[in-house]
Amino acid sequence: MKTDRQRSFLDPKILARLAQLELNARLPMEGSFGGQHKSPHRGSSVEFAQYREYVPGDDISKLDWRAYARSDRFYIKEFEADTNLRCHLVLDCSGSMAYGDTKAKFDYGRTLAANLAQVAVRQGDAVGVCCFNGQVVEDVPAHTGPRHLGAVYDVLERVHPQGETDAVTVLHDLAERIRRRAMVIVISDFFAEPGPLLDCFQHLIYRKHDVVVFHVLDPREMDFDFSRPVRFRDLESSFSMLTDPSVMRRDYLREFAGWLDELRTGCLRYNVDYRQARTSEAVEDVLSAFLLGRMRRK
Amino acid sequence: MCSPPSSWAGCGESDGRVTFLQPIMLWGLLAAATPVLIHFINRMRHRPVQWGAMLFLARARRSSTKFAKLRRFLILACRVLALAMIAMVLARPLLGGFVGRLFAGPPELVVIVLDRSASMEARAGGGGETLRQRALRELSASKALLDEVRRIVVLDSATGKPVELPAVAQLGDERFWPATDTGATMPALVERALALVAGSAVGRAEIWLVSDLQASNWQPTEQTWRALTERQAGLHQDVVFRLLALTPPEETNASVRVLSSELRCEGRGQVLDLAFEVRSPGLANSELVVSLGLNGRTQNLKLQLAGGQLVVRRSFPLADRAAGWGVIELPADSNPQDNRAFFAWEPPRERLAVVVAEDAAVGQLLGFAAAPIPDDPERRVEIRLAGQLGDLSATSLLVWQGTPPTATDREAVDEFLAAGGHVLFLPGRQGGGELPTGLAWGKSLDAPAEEPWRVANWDHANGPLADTPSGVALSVDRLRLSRACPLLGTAPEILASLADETPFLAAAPVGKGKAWFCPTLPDREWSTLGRGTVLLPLMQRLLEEGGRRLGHVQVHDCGEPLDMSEFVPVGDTPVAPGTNQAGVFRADGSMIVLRRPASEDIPGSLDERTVRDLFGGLPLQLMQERQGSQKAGLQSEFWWVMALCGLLFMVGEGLLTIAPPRGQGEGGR
Repeated sequence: MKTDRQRSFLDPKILARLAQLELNARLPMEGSFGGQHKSPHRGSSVEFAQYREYVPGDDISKLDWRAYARSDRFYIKEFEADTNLRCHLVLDCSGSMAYGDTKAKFDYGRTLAANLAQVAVRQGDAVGVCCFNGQVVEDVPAHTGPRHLGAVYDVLERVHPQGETDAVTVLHDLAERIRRRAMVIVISDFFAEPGPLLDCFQHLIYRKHDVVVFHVLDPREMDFDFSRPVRFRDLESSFSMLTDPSVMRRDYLREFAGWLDELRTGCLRYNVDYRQARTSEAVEDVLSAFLLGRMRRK
Repeated sequence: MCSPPSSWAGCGESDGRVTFLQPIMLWGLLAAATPVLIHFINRMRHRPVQWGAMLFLARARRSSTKFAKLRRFLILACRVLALAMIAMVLARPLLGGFVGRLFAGPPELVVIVLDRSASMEARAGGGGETLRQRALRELSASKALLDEVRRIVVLDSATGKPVELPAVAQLGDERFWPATDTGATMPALVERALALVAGSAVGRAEIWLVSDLQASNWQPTEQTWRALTERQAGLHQDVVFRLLALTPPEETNASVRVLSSELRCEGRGQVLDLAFEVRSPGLANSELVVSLGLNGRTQNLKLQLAGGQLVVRRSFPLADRAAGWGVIELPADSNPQDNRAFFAWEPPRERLAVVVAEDAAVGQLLGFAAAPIPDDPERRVEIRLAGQLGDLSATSLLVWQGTPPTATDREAVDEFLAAGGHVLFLPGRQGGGELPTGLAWGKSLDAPAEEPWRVANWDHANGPLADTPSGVALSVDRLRLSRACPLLGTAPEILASLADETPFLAAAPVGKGKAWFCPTLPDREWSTLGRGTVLLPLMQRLLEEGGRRLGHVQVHDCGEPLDMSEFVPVGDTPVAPGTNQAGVFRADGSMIVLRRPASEDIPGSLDERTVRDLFGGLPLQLMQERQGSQKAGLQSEFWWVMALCGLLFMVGEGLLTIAPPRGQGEGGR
């Protein structure tokens, strides 16, 4: 078993920079243990949550007599329940993720996933990973502990981008499989129709999951900066196209921008935490922005 | 008051075809295929790229296929056409017709054919400007147009030499274009003008013809006019002809011309036999007083004109045998230039005829025809033998009958001809033999007994068979030929011919002299030539013609290329260098009489229709009197249009190939 230092997708500098940051959920989670995340259920923590009118059968030790004195009615005090986070990392390993002008999107996404897993495990949360292309390639359930983190890393190291993408089916299936509230972090280029993808996100949201989307893109895919005629070969199929990029650039960029805008707008509408990650940006910058944002929101 | 200025000939227009001044540059059109080649090479040089975002490429291709193909085609077309336009510009295209007129600019070369013949000195109203002066005024009025012309060349009829004008103002200066007594040969001048244009690398040229359209100058039957059309077709550029036709005044005009002036001895004194002709179509049946000057002494002669033409023969006693000169002057009329005729005389000189004949009888007859009067001091004949020609330096006429000369005789005859001598060749009885100038005698042929050959055509106006000065024709038509040796080859001049066009009298210039050929003999078995009615005047005239070179008085037409450097004018003849002015000039013991060419005295002008027919399909345009509208052009360079189109194509190509701004790629953020 490799040590963390031998993993290509782990950089000590990144880990060091993320050491003080926490991974927080926006929604109450349903964990197995006590943790730092809010639980949807009322618990025995010291943090007052709310008053509730007494109904026969409630624990009378929780009656608030002062409230009775003020209102001549019986109220029960409820307190917040803290639990741990269950984080599911969903990594796209289809053929399109192999593209990268300077760094492959998959490598970038894998680095993102690995560091997020590290942060989650460090704070006692459970982490699992699911790699997919046209189907689920690898699936590791969410567990806590460093040993489990190693297993996650093994999967990340084992997987290589190939095959066609079918994120929609996989995400819908995932939404059904993950029963308890969790944070679902999807890392992909999402090269598919935005409508069905947004349906998947909506499905996950409906299941009360905290959905985070890391949209990994290569700058060249966004700029389409080609000059001479090029034969583009699809990474996920045998399709190829010979074209003069200078002639098609305007239409390509228009299509790309329209698709991106639809996806982003849909994510905002469905309260999906959308994060765009260009492979030209430093991973730690992306993660720091994400984690800090979550910390401020808490 | 002057007659209305300038009437202009009608128009003919060239078609709207495109021609090129430098057609070899059209090979540059091959370079226009370069963008297409590069396009295909580029497509073959594509690089493969593994790509993940095929979704958007496919969508982009679907939406851009239609317009992308059109845009690619337009870009390629712009590049090809831009290069093609550059090649066309370098080839210097010319466009005719209406479209060409749209792009017309001033011509680069204007050749002005200026008729400065004697007839151009006619003036209207007796005191108005001459046709020549009017022409110069009209040309000066075109200064606004001519200022834009790069080169102006004047082809003067008097000198026949092109003169390039350094300044347009020179056109209106009479000092450069004074009056002359010369003639004009318009066909030759127009041909020379075309040669000037052909030799200059210009895109557009014009030939301006300035003339009074005198028929004898324009020679409408001249074959040269037909050849002009072919010459024009051979030029890279079409030439625009503009005609300034100056209408001669309608006033009557009389001209005088000396026919002969001979000094003879009469008893102890000398008598000048003078013959001159006065032509005046408008002065029929009227009295005319002419002034006659002999060696500076003037006397008046009253003449009675009848029928518009009069030949006067008068004899004037002279005090001595010395050479002298004279002038005949008519009263002033519309053209003073033809009112004077100069002449000169010299003491009678001996005219020696040398006869070399195979047949003694024929030789004797020929000798008698050359010197019919025994002991005539002015005419002498010597009978010599072949091989014993001797000195011919003092010979006026050599008559050679028989086998043509060979060896030393041939050399002597050639030398005699080159020096200006005249030789009359008659065949031998057997015929055959090579003659000078590449001709030869054929074998003798006999005419049918019942139908001897007759002379059907001969030159009544010029040559030794011409009519007499009084207009009486020689009895050439009464000649009967029983036998003759046909002349083999093509003689340059045919002065008389039989009914089947076989030459009866032919001539060929050789050096300064001339060789004459007669295919029959003055022998009963051959012809009736021996009767003398034709032979005598023929021999005398040839003798006279051949003797001119030995005389001290030479008569030439104005405009002939002569070396006048040693000659000075005598009497009141105008002091003008060159041979453009008529007069009498003396040097040492010789005199030269420059006379106005006979063609200048022949009235009659061409009408517009005839001029237009002469030019056939060539573009002949009216020159506008209002100089501001001199924009008509039949073939114009329009390279600038090509250059502009090329520039537009390049700009269009640039606009089509401009890539969309990089900001469109940042839409993801």
